[in-house]
Amino acid sequence: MTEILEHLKTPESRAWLAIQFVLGELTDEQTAQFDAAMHNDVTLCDSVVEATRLVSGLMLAGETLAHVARPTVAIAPRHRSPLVAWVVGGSVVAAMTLGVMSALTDSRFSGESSGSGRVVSLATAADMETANVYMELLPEDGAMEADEDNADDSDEDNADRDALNDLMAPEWLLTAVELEQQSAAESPADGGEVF
Amino acid sequence: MSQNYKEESANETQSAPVDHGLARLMVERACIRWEADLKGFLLGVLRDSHLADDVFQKTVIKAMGAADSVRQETLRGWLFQVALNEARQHQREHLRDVKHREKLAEQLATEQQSRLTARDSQWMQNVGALNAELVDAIRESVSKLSPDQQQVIQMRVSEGLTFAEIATRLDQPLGTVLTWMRRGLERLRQDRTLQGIWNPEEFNE
Repeated sequence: MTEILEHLKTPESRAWLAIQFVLGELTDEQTAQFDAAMHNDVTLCDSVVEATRLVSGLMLAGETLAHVARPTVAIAPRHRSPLVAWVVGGSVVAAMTLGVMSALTDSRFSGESSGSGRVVSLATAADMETANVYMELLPEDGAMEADEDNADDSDEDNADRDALNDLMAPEWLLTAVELEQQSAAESPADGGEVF
Repeated sequence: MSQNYKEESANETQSAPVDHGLARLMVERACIRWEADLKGFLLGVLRDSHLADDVFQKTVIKAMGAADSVRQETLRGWLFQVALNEARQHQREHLRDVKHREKLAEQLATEQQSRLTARDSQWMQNVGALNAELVDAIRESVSKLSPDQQQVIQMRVSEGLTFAEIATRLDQPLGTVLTWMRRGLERLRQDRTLQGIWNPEEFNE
């Protein structure tokens, strides 16, 4: 017990000890000592809350940093063959060239509509081909963007859930009340010790 | 709701509750008010968000059953003690249920190595113990640390490496790695933008 008590004298050492506790760095004996200390000191429990919040926040912050570092559009991913990069690059050049030509010659091409009713040029076909190549390069990033969408949905779901929770009692409370009432009905209150 | 709760709490007498119904109501309100803190505490003890949810439920049941024994002014600390007891009781019961000693030893080893995961971190957001603004503030604060401190924190927290493994990878003494970690965390604690972490009660208001 003396070992742990020595580390509880200053706020900094208490915070460091709480971090070690949350990270699972303490031995079984140290954990038992820390438990005993928490029983007598609610501020040490708060330190554990702080430590858990910090560790969780660091984990989320670290994940987001790694997420942002990944490119959202891979024109020529490093793991792909250079041939693909040439195909894509060539398509882009071809699209630009044809686009200029179409603007000068007003050529007709019944491809995908631009949506404005205007005549679509040969450039659109090249654009579509480029877009198709992009799509072939994007399976991983597409999945990542899908995860972003799901995360957004999840955030919206959580917001909706939180809004509902503001209006009604939480489910865990209703369950707890029911179970407590059941146990009280089955056996008389014995006033037993909590600890 | 928290502001109304504070006003009502201030008006309540500080003597022991004489009515069981009032006592239970007081405990219920406290569990709602400090739900995020209690769940965050249980996650720190159990290192598993599913277990934390289960034990929180048990904590509420136990607390409501023993509401007559608590006083208003010690309610928060009392709830933490109940939660800690329920967490350790849950772990003991889990160990007793394991039939084979070899499997028990394996599980013990696994539990000792259990650590918080990304899922647990997301759970902290879901239960309101953490929010996006605080995560952004943490990210900003970490970026101001020294490269060594950032690296150690990243390797320990996000990658789950032990300090010994980190020391080996970085070819540094273990004491140096621990110092980097500790100094980095101290700087984060001193960062005023992260006060939402260091004041749980204010964070919940």
